[in-house]
Amino acid sequence: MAVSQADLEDLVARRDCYAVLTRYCRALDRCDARMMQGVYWPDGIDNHGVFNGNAAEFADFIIREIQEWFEVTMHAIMNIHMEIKGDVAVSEAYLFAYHKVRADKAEGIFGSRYMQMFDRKGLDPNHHHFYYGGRYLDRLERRDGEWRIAKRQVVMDWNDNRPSGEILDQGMFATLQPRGERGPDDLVFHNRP
Amino acid sequence: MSVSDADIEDLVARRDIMAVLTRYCTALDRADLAMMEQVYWPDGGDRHGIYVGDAKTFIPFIINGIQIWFEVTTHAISNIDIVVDGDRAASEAYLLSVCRVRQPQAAEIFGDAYLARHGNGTLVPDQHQFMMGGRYLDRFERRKGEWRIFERQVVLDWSDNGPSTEITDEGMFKTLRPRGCYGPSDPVYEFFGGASKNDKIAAL
Repeated sequence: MAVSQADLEDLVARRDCYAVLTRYCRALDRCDARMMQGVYWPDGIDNHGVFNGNAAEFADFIIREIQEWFEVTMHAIMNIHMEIKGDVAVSEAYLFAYHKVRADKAEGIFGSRYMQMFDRKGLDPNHHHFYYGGRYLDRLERRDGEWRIAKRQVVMDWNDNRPSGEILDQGMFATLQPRGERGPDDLVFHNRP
Repeated sequence: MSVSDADIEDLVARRDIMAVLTRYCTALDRADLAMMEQVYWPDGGDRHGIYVGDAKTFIPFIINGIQIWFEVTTHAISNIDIVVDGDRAASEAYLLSVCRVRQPQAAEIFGDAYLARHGNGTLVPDQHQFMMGGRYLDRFERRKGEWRIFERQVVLDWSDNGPSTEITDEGMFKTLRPRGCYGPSDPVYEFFGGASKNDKIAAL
């Protein structure tokens, strides 16, 4: 069975669109504003709930805010369903996220009801984290051969908020070095073919 | 817009590299030494933090260690970014791992502060687990048409340790069979034809 040119084009487009989706996560988790700007078209739209509007403004906003509120984040995407038609693609990506909240931001993130029940209840009493399940619904457009997000809508499905159970300096975890970083020191930026 | 031969070669290389990344996870979660030996080049290296050195020594260390430390593990990868350059490639893969710790190893894994607080467990005494988030940063090489890891660096981003609330023999969970396990009796082996999961012929 021969592979048609249309199928090959579809495979290449999926590869390129997937790279945009993972680049978004890397930009966010490594706090790289410039990389984040390159994920969206300048006239793109992002509806995140916490921000709704122009994507270029969102990129600056979210990279600033994520450092303000969280010490560590991880945005893992899976279940990627994509449909490509010419220069437009629509995709759904499942998101599983982890956020370690800065000690002085817990009340702002979780609210007073959570704090009454769980303040200082963790193995690390100063910290809390949450897991988040949601989905990125994206419209990507190809312009001059390059795919970027033209419109993103984020949907939250659930969240799970907890006192920190983190161990950094004891047991096996003391040996697990290096740690992830924000900024150009993270080892991903030094890993080349 | 036509697709170039370079693009097609890139797609095939990604497929093969992706298969190595998942093979590592299968080998680890099933504690399969022979499968793990197909993941790295014999002169490769691994920097896991808990181990730093050549891959040849890492392989028996980790396959042995995982069975001593943990009752069950899952190593799930996502966000896979691969850059292919001829016979070399670099990749990042996000890792989300869940490990249930064998009771005698709890002190070694978690340390004293954790045990002082959680020593008695929750649903089952002395049963603990952790979830961790990290990343595999790999350099691959293709030799005689085959891709394998030449150098792996593991980065830890976070961990979440706590008493396990696992239920195995009550409620809905007692119906959820079969369970995964270490070794060749895991259902994945029979499903893929009784041999290695990587044997494409056996799967047909």
